[in-house]
Amino acid sequence: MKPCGRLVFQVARRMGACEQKISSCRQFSSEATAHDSIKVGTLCEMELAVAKQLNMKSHLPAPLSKQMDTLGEIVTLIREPIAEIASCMRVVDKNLPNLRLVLWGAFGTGKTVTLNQAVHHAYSNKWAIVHLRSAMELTRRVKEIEMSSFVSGRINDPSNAVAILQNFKQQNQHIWKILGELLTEKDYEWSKSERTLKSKPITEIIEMGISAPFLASDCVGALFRELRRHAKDDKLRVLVAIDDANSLWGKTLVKRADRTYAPPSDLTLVVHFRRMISNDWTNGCVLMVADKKEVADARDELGVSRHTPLELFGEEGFEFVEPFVPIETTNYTESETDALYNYYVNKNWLASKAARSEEGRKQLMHLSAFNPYYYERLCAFN
Amino acid sequence: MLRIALTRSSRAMSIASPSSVPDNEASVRKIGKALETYLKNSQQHVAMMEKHRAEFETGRRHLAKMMSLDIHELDQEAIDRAIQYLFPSGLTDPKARPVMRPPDEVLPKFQRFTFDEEGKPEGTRFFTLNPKIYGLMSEIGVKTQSVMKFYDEHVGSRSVNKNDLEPANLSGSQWITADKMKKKLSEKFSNELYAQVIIAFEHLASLPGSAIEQKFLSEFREPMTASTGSKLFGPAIPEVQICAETNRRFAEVTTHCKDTRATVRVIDAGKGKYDIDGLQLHDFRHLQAREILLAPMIISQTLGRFDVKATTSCISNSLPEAPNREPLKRSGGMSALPRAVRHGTALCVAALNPESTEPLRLSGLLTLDPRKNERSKVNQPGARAKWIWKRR
Repeated sequence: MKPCGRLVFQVARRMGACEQKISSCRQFSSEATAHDSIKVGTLCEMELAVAKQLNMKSHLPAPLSKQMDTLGEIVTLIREPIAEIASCMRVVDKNLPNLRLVLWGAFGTGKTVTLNQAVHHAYSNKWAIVHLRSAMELTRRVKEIEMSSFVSGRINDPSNAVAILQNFKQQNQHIWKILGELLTEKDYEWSKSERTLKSKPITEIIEMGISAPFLASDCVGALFRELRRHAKDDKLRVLVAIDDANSLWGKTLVKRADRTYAPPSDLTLVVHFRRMISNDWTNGCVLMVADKKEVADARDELGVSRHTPLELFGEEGFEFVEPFVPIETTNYTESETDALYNYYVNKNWLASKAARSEEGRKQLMHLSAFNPYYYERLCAFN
Repeated sequence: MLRIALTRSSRAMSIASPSSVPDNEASVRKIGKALETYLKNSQQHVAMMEKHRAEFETGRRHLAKMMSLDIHELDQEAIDRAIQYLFPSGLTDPKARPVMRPPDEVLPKFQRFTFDEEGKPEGTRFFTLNPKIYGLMSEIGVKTQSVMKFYDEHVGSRSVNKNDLEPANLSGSQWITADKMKKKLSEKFSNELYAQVIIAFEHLASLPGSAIEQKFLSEFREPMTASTGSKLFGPAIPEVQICAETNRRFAEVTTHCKDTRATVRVIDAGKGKYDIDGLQLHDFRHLQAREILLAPMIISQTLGRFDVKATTSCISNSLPEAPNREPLKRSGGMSALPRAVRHGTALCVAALNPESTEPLRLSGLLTLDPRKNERSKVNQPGARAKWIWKRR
């Protein structure tokens, strides 16, 4: 018993020492509330409770959320793009039309992670968050469809609509009280029996949609409409974060009655999100990710397709989102890989002797070609 | 009498016309068999060369007609191309393939003796039948004498460099082989003579003071490694060049793997950047490809030191094909293209960083991989596969 207890104590002490070492170079989310505390090149830890509220587990890329489980914490590197986004979010004003930012970059350079960091940033600044995990889910992963009763020809997507509303509710718990004080503009008559009267809190719309899936698609539209209106009135600020936003102008797998594929403009949810992107409202920020999974062939193992916004959004989409601020995500620099390497070594995530040597550090860096995704994958197996 | 005969015969040889043979026959017969044979051989050789030259010229004209070219356009390069087109050969060794070259280049040369004004052969060693090797032996003898004399005169004195009084430094090299010596002296000799020359050389090299003849000795030595089979299969390690603009060292080499030809340029003092047909390292999605590409750097432990620029092309697209055949559109895939680039990179890294040559060679990165896609056979679905046999 005794030696065992001592061993445990020693391990605990060593872990403590490790943590001290890490925390010296790391910010906690509580410190990151202020706008100007984003320091490029540092590691930022998100509190697990916050991560759970923001549903990071499903929003982050799969390898990173797995790493979150393994290491028991979520630590990301603060890089140029998130600093740029933060400075853009600072200038958002009720007199300025909403700011549209497009994140673009090669595969695995951290577009989605940056988007999630921006969501977290919005959370710490008490913004309302409209976060879509992937626009591709609205166009290609439609499980059940219903024809809209509101506009003929539109196709409703109850399951995705409910998911959107639930996600909105979960991610905006920090301002739920404020949302409860915001009132609807007009009477909404969802169906013959269900209706939401004028001057009721907009949270009622959400509850209505969640409880009645066949109304959820229309509820999403109403909710977005109210959010835009209240943002214009400077009641709150809204961050719209859409991953794979170019899929809103991509191809769909939704079939109409005559067995042809419906264009994305026929899907109710797509239309609602496009309205959210259009810049006829103020006091908000729309953050989009242009991702090549919409156009690239996943089975083509050798081809390298373009990943610039024009190619990905297409003519129509590009005209719609213009003007926007392009923000490019790039591969790591050597100092950035070093920061992560030190983190992984401290967490004992890099366990083998070879990986901990100087030569191993270099090999990890170059074999991953400085690409964040490849780097994480390589470190997970060493 | 003898002199006159010799004069005549030498003249006959210098004119080298077959018509003069019967004229001199009587006098030649008097002067012994050796010279007679020599003259006969010489004339035969001249006649043969004449015949072959004429044949080559006619062949060239025919070839020009076949390829519908003007005879003046058909230079040696065009001939090579035409032969490659008319006689496509899959033989691996270039020496085994059909060629058409001027007879002077291809046929063995005839060794002529030189004669002076009076028709006497030049140098008295002519009559030894091996003038060059005997000349070399006597030269060694003279040098041995002078080395001994030099040593006796200067031993213990301070007037000469101390190193000059040592035996010559021949470490890391060996005497050239009999074949090479024959080629060097352009003369045939027996193995006994070769052994005698080597004994003489050994004696000279063992003398104290033979360092002053170091230069002479090293002419007949070759480095040890060259003969121990360390010659690389495939392209050799390239020369290091210096870029005039950036003043950086670089090396360039062309190699291939399967059907992919790659021209690789490795530049020293870089950042570890890759540019392969405009693609960077992160554009290679598979770890296997990146591992292959970085293997030379990992083995030589020079990660991040060299920049690599490579252009690749498909070999079978550049082959001369029959006019109605469409060129194949293949290019290297996940491993063949990186392997072609890896071989080039390894050769260039070995050139720029010579200490890493041995590790690279031992890991097999400097050796060309000559394997190719096997051609599919007529009446068969593939190279080896057969159609399913069925009893009707």
